[in-house]
Amino acid sequence: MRKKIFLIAILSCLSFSTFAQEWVVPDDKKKITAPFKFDSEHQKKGEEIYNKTCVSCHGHPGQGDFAKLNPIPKDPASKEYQTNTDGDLFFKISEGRVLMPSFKNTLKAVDIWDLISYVRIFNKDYVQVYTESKAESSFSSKYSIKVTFAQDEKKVKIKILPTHKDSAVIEGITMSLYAKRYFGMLQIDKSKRTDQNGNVSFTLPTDLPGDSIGNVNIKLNVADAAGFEETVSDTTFKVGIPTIHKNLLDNRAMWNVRSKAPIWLILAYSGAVLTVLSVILYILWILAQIRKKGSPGI
Amino acid sequence: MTENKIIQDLLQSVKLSKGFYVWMTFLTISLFVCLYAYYLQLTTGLGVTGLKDYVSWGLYIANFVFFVASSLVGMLISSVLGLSGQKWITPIGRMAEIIALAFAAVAGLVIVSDMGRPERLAYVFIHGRFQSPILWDVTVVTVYVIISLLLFYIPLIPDLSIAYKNRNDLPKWQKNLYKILSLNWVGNDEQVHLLHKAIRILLILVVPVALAIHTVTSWLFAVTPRSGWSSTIFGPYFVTGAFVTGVASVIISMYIFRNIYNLKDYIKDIHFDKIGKLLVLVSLVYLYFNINEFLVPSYRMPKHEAVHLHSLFTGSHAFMFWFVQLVGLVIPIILLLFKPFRKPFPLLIIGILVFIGAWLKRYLIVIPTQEHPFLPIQYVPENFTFYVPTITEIAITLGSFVLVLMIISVLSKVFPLIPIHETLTERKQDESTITKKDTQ
Repeated sequence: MRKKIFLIAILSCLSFSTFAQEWVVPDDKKKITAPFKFDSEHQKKGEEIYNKTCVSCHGHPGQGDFAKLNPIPKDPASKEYQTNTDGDLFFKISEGRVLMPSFKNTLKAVDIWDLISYVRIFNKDYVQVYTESKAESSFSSKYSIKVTFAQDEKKVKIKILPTHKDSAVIEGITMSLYAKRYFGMLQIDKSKRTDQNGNVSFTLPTDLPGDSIGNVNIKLNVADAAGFEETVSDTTFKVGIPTIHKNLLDNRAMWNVRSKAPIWLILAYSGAVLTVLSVILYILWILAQIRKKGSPGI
Repeated sequence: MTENKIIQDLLQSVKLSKGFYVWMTFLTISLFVCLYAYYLQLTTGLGVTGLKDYVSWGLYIANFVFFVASSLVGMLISSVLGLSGQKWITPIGRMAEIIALAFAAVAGLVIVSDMGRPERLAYVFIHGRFQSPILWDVTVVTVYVIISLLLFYIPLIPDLSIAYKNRNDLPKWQKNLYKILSLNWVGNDEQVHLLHKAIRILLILVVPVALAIHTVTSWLFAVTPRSGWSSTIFGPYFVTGAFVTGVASVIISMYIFRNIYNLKDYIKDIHFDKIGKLLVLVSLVYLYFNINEFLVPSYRMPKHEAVHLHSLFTGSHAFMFWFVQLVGLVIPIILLLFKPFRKPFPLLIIGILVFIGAWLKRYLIVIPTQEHPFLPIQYVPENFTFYVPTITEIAITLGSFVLVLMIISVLSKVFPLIPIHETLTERKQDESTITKKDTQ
């Protein structure tokens, strides 16, 4: 029995280490290619995104200054990294694994392609394979969206209508509602699908903090088949509780700047210094008196 | 002993002798060697020291704490014992003040030596925050230096006048110095009254200031939430430790001055006996604080403290830690309970051990804590994880000791070391009480 447990333990360790070694990308995802040709404009955008989101772990490509994590974040300039196909990279960046976060919800598809276009700079042998997409028209060009806030129900109601009567389905489109917070977006309610009339509604929490007059910036995202979201509406509604943020630096405190020192402390410090100094001055005066009372011709 | 004999005895040291010049030349050369080390640090930056990101307070700060500690002895001897009417401190009072003044004055410079950009020192006052213990520390050290200077100078005034009158063989500058500094002293009632008043006020004033100077120094550590520093008893722990250090330095200087200035008739065995007992007392109090400081956290042993405490008890600092506790504290206490060990020479040896122990103690307070930060040390070069002082750093630290020795040497040589006026007054009082008893 013990032996068995031991074996299982070893096997699970092995399987874990193989998992750590290889990152299997499904065949269909492997073959995905960018919807545009990588040019300097995309590379420049990609570099910006890389320096903002990737550099802290992967370091500057080719300089080997990546973070010492396990598994090691691959240097984009390395051969091992560059053997990935564009589809591999797209999959890995969007899905993430272990310490590598998923960027599906942080970056747009086009951002990830920009990133890939940037890291390919470090591969001189790279030749891009791409299929020019049929300039897929954006969601907002196909639909008109109406976002309203029902005060009594505390609901945000959405109605979509196709701009051209002919095509576009209005049923079953996945939509998500977000409130803008200090750090990122807070999802409100769940992601929902439109009904046959193109309607969907999200219930707002009653305690959502807003700005000083209760305004909250609300974003409506539509997800495509791959799960990438596109913001289709960005409005400000008076749906939150008015909140006045007090700046902690406004108050007098021990940890604040000098001009914001606690009054008692200023008084205690200056009081002590003045007291001691005046006593010392008094002593000096006594010394002067001693000198006066004596006679110079000793 | 006649009055004249006492005056002659106590004034015989003031003439600058050949030996003094040789000694000062030696010190000056040593100082220049150390100043060269400081020049290297000033031009190259603090990179020449062993200080790194994690241990950013090293030898300098440990030494600063030690200097501040040693300077507290002036207050202990002159104020605490003096005001409580202890007569035996008369011959060593000025010595204690000189030690206090020298250590306090150099302590400020030691802090400057820890600064990479010393020219920005004034920023402490220009931009200093009232909330920062560093501002309090700079303030209180400065004040303490001034008060120590006054406490050294004011009781000296009558002696300067005596020296001026009784030594005609001194060089002109020295005579003039005495004349100017003696402030027309003739010893009339009014002057004596004023003098005593000034001394009394200063002796009272120096008590809170001295307590403040070392309490604030302890707060530099205690206000940070780090294992080994974050302790509520750090103030009294430092102050009691300071008395141990200070008494040890007075013992050492008593022995040395007694021998080189031929003061055996004035600093007698009884003085050593008394100060030996004083050392037992202050050491016991300090031991008590040590037990509190280490036993309580090691009883509860919270995770973050454990790393620090283990490094002291059994780890990389264990040898130094147990040396400090046993050789620097426990063994001296036990030995000094027996009278033969309170004789001058054994007491000197014990004093030196306590002095070394006290210095190492400051090292143990400052450095090990920084090797155990709350956030794990990772992805840094190996030599960031521990602290080893460099030769340059040690030289600069030695330089501060040289400076202290220079100040002590000059003050004890140029001015009478044992208070003449006080010795004479006390003798007169003793005689009058004896005659009173006789007549009764």
